[in-house]
Amino acid sequence: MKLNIIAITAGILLFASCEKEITVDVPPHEPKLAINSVAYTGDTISIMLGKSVDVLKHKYGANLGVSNAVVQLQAGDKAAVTMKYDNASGMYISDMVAEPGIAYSVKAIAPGFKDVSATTRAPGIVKIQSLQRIKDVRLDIDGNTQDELRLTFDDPAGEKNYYIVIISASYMVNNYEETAYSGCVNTPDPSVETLYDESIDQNTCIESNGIFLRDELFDGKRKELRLFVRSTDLQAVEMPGLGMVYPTIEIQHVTEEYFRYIKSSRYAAINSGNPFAEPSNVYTNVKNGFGIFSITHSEVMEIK
Amino acid sequence: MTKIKFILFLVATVSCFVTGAQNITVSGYISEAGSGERLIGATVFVPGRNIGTTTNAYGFYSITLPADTFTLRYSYIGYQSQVKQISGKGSQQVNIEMKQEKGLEEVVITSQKDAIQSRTQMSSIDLPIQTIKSLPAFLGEVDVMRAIQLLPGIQAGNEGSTGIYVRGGGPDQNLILLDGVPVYNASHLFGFFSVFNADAIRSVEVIKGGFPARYGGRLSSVVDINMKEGNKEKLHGEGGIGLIASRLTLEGPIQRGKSSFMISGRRTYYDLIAKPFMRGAVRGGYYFYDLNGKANFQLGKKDHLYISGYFGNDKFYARQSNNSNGLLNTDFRTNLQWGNATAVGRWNHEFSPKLFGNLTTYYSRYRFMVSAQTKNQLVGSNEEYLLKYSSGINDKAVKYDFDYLPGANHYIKAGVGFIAHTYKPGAQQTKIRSILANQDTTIGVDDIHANEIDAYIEDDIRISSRFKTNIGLHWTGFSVRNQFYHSIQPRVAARYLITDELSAKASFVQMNQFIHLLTNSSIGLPTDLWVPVTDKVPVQKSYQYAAGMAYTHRTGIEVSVEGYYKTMDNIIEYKEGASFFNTATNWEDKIEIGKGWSYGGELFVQKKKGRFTGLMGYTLSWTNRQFDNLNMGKVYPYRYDRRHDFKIAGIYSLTDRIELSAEWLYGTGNAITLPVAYHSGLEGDEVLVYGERNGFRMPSYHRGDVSIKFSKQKKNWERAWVVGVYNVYNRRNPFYVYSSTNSSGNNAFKQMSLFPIIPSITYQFKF
Repeated sequence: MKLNIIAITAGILLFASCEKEITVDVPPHEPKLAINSVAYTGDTISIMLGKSVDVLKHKYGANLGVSNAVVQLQAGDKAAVTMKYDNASGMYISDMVAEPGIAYSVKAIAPGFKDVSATTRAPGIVKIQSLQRIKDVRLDIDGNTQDELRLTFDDPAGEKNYYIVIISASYMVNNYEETAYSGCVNTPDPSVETLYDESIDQNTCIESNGIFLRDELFDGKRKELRLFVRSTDLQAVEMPGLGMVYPTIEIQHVTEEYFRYIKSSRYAAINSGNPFAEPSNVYTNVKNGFGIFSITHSEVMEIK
Repeated sequence: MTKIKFILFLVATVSCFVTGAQNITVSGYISEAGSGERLIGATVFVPGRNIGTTTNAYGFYSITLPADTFTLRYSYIGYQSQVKQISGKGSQQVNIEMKQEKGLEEVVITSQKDAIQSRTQMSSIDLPIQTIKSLPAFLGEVDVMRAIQLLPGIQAGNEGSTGIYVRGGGPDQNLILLDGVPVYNASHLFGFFSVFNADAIRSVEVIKGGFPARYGGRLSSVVDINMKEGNKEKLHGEGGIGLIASRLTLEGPIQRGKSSFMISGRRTYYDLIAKPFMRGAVRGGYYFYDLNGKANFQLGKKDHLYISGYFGNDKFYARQSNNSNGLLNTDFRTNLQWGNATAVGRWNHEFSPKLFGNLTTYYSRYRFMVSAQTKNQLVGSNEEYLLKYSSGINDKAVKYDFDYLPGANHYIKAGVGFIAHTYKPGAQQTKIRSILANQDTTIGVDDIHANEIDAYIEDDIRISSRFKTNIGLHWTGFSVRNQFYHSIQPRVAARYLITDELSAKASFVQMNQFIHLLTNSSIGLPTDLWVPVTDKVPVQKSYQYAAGMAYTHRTGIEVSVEGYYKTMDNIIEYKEGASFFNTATNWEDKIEIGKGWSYGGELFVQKKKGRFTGLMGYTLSWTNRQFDNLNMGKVYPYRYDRRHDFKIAGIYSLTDRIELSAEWLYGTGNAITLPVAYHSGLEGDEVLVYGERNGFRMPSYHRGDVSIKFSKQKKNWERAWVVGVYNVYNRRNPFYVYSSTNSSGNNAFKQMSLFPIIPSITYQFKF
């Protein structure tokens, strides 16, 4: 519907006469801390601590990092550890490794800000049981040949589980390997949802950089996810020094908080600058502040 | 509640049979002398007895009184009153032809039904078509909907929009009727003009509350517009040539005195003017047009047939052609078009002097289509790509309405109707023809078929010389996707005449609405989509309580003061972040269901006669919304929550040939959601933080318009020049507000305005 938007915008601009700066009675914003951290299980947990700034005082590209905070990280009932600020990365780092099933909490205290805190529980390990590729199974809405991918994994029983599946391929640009997402993926699977939680059919375009699922319909069962991807998007590429590089499929077992964060973050980005879309805030699980604190378990497999 | 409904129904039903013996019934039609055009709402009054009635939508009246000698006084504002002596028994038919008043009074031909304080109906305003035509016009185009926006309790949406928001209701909650047929998208050019050509219009009535039982299907308002019938005596015409559009209306007899026609057309010509200046490979343009037609036939003394229709369309188009050395020809075309079509047939039959019936059958269609087509002609091969999206709604309906006037104390209206709706929530067609592929695919949501039946009964009861009530019930059944929804909606209105000039009124109504409009644009975009209730999207309901006073001063100035409280359940809004573009699929998943309420007070002053005529309206109101999944469940102000809304308009006849008019509007700024902060994001990006939903206000809206009309009577025709200035002091009113950087590199809020000062000139003629 881009055409639609362009035509309508053009029509309105025919009558557009002017813009001017105005004063709106917006109370000054009280700066808050923003915790941003999504660690993978098996990796050490680090946190990017930032701050918010009043929209009218904001300068594009200004450093919003906060380096003088005390940040404490706690795993389960263990004693909290104080994270160290790393100048090179601009992050607070720790030696604590994210382990599946463990609850973590973080608290940040910085002068001039209210204390902020967040908790999360690392999701369990969900392994890819099998991946099957069936070539040339159907045509998509534009007449392109699609391959079918059958991804199988076991959903942990008795808990709400959230997944994000990502399909990506590699290609060479100036002798460097770049990763790209495949574009549209189709699926008839009722557990797959779009950014706006719309119901889907087999022609709905699902972006391959975020195929969102929740386990309401397959709690505790083996799940076979069937995806249709353009055959041309799944081609392996010969790369100098690397040999044959195959596209990959990744399944991320994520927390509900991250699931909500990433969806809200994406549709906020899509609607950014659209004066007709209803503005929306990005989800946060940080108490008294902004951002996301979460842990993800990821499994990746090559598509051959 | 059930008991109350039953009692109301009983009162209304029993009252049908209350008639006195030895009565005389006088009935007939009231029409305009010289044209034969029936007059709606003319008053028939018995002086000294405080008894009267009014003509219905077809000019029919009936009054039954004890057999006696009495006088009937026929009046209609702007026309010379007539008096008839009646005596005898039984039934008498008295048809009246009323002559227009001469001189300056002629300038203010109005269609006021009867004195404002006398009517049981409250929250209703008849807007004289001549007033509408005399008001300053945007770009010289007289607009019915823009005039309606001047009334209290009715607000415009954004700058330039002809959409209306009535007593806190949404744009979908207005039943806009053209000759009794619903018009689903009453906008041209993204809402800057309405589809109603004022030259083709005879009367406009707006009801904001206290809805009589005969109306149903929308929560907030009824805008009842009737087209001219056509002159039965001789051929007449009128037209105008303006800056952006021209129009022509012709009316005259088909068979003198018995049948007539009216045909009216309007078209913009931006595309035609721009065409010679377009050079190169890219060509494009925009136009809209309207075509109104009506014919009526007297089929005998008791039967009358009306056939009318409307057809209008908007079209944007662009075309680009390239030719590469004769080897490759590329032709790209894109179109965006939308429009309404209505057709209606109405057959009146007078069963008896007391019983009048009308059969209506109609068709109404709204459609929207956007398409893009590319054709490549290579040596030896042709390729074609087509992408088309369309949506719309079709209605086919039949209904029968009765007017029964058993005596002077009752005016009963009843009717039944059936509507077959077809909703087309959107379909996308992809067509590819090339060497590699040849396919034609259509995807989208299937058409949704729904059937609606309704029945009503209402009685305007004269309880005493001072106390009148209107009691009614409206029942609607709606069937969609194997589900059946129905509701009984009670309607009660009462009027107490404190003095002959002053009355107190009160009303209570329940309204139900079985369709929703998917929109969050507020500017009348053609992509706005009508959808029915479903198992996921429930029926909209409202309850409205209103009370007020109405007064007519001896100088003819009418004053009304009203207070109202309205609740609305099951209204819809888009989910946070959802965009209203690409509404083709899964609209039910994109919306949230919540409630709203509005309350406030309205003051309306109107002067209809004399050299100076005008109106003034002030509204003080509060309108809120609450959705469990929006704004964290907290109550927030509706986008068009407008604390103060003030409008004033005046028309002054300087001489018989010169008329001045001016209007000024003020409204509290619209409520908006604005960003309040940025914070660092997960990817090192910057994330925008928005404040409370609709927690901020745009700057207030105000605007003044003026116009002057110079008329001249020629031998056989009349011409007029109308010079107008829209937004005379060049106020930059906000269209929308956003945050951006200013010239100093600092962040700032900016507003986009649409219309600066705009002069216009129009040439009008009449013969």
